[in-house]
Amino acid sequence: MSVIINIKDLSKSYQVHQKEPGFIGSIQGLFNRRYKTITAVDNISLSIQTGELVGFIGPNGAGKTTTLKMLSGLLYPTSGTATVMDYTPWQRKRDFLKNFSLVMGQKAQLWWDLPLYDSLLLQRDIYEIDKSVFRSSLQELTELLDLDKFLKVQVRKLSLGQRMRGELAAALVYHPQVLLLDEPTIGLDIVVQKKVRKFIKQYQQKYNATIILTSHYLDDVRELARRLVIIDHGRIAYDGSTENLIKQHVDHRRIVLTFFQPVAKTALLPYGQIIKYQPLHTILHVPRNQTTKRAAQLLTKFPVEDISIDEPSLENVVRELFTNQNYA
Amino acid sequence: MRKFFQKIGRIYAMEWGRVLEYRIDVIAWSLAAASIPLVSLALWYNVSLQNPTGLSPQETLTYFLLVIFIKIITDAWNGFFTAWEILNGDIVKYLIRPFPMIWNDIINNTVEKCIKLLIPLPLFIFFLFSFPHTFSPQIFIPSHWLLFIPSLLLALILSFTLETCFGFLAFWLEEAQQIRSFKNIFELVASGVLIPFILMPPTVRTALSFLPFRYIVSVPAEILLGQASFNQSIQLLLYQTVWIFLIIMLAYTLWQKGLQRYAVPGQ
Repeated sequence: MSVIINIKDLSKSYQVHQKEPGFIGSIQGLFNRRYKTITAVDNISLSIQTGELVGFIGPNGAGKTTTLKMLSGLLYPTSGTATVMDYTPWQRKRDFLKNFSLVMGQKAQLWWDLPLYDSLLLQRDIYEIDKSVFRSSLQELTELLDLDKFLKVQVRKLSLGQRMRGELAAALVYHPQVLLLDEPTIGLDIVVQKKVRKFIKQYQQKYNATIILTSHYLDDVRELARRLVIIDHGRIAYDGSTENLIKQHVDHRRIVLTFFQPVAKTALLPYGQIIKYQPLHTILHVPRNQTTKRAAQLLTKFPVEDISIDEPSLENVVRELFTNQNYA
Repeated sequence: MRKFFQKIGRIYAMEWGRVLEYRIDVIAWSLAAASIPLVSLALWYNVSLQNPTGLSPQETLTYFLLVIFIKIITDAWNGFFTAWEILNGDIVKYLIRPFPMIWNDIINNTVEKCIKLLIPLPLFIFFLFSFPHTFSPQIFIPSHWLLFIPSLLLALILSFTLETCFGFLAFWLEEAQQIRSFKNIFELVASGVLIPFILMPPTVRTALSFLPFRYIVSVPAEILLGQASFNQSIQLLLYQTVWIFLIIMLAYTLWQKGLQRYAVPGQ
């Protein structure tokens, strides 16, 4: 595998006008404007291999979307360099634009007053897709995204989920090598979210596409990305696999117990921190390195009907990371 | 080249499809484009009947009817959409495509112009040939048309590129739409839509000749109505070309510099 996206010491700062509140503040602003410099992306470096699917997560304003905008050539960085498919994105060379795609939430590539099919035909001509390739690509997208019911309906009359699927079809009909997805499932119901996730996975596997995905829904990231990049305050706070994140940053596991006879709470106290207690059902929080030993002890000393050991969810880990700020 | 025309053809087809979705707009746009010159016509026609100003009623009628057509053909509104798309971030859809955004504006502009001419043009031709004595005889001189047509085309390009520059101001100013609106109001006076140039005081006329607006409406009309001699007409065509060159350079600089500082808001 070769490196397809290479980011080195990339930074982006903005000047934001600071306005004092009220009428007096407005008058003051006429004569004396104060600006504050905000660093959205702070000196990040990253390499992504061809065919990788990387999930970017982070709180609002962390710098995820700004990074994607720079990789798409929409923003010029304040400092640093980046290459995508060996092109400098913000030079916006034609061959670069022909081989990458960006889907940003609901910001449409589709023409609102015309059916989805017309927008796809426009993509065919703009990206110079051969007619037979377009036909087979459209057929494939229609099947994967269930487009057939609304392909000939005016885009403005489509539901949010249908529009998002239309956006994905327009973004992928020309088979881009690099795909940047910014919140592709935002506002969608669970059924459509699952459909979109399944589609992204299939597309990536079939075309060996390189995908960067940002999402507030950790389900998106967990299901799709093996590699996770956590961005916070414009810096990379973590870069690695989901499993490693949990292993590195979580020093405990949960033992979930179901008893066939009631067990007293006090009897369970020596085995771990009780998260939830019912006489027949209890959850214990135990140190990661003690899990096996404690589970064995519980099995021998109590009337256990069922036992399971859970890793904490990615949501919990990320929430902990962002609130405690104690990650490396 | 074939692929380029295929793209242009596709965008044209889509623009026509979009415009024809909204049939009432066709009538509304035609009426809107003709309304201000028609009001000016009524006013100046009465003035020319009662108090000679230098223009005969025939010339006044011809001038303002001509202004309606020149205005429809040279009118540009792409700056409105450009500014809007820059300010809310919708311009992204064009920036990520391997095809220059300007073609969308050019195609939108030409399609809507065709629609706007749909009602006034046949009416004008009908009146011109049914009641020729009502109009200034100057507009029946073929050599005037030979100079008028290139002048009209240059005026169209000038108006479009100037409007593009005003749209690009949105890279710097959130008030770009208001500045554009002010420019449009000023243009009504400075281009000869409200008051023919020939009726303006000489100092005002001279001052306004240093701005590009005269070359958008008044100059083509002056050429067709024979208010400029052959040599003067050639000189006016040259001025139009120089203005276009300068404004294209300005638009290119604004685009390049604007993109470098653009923060893609609303995304």
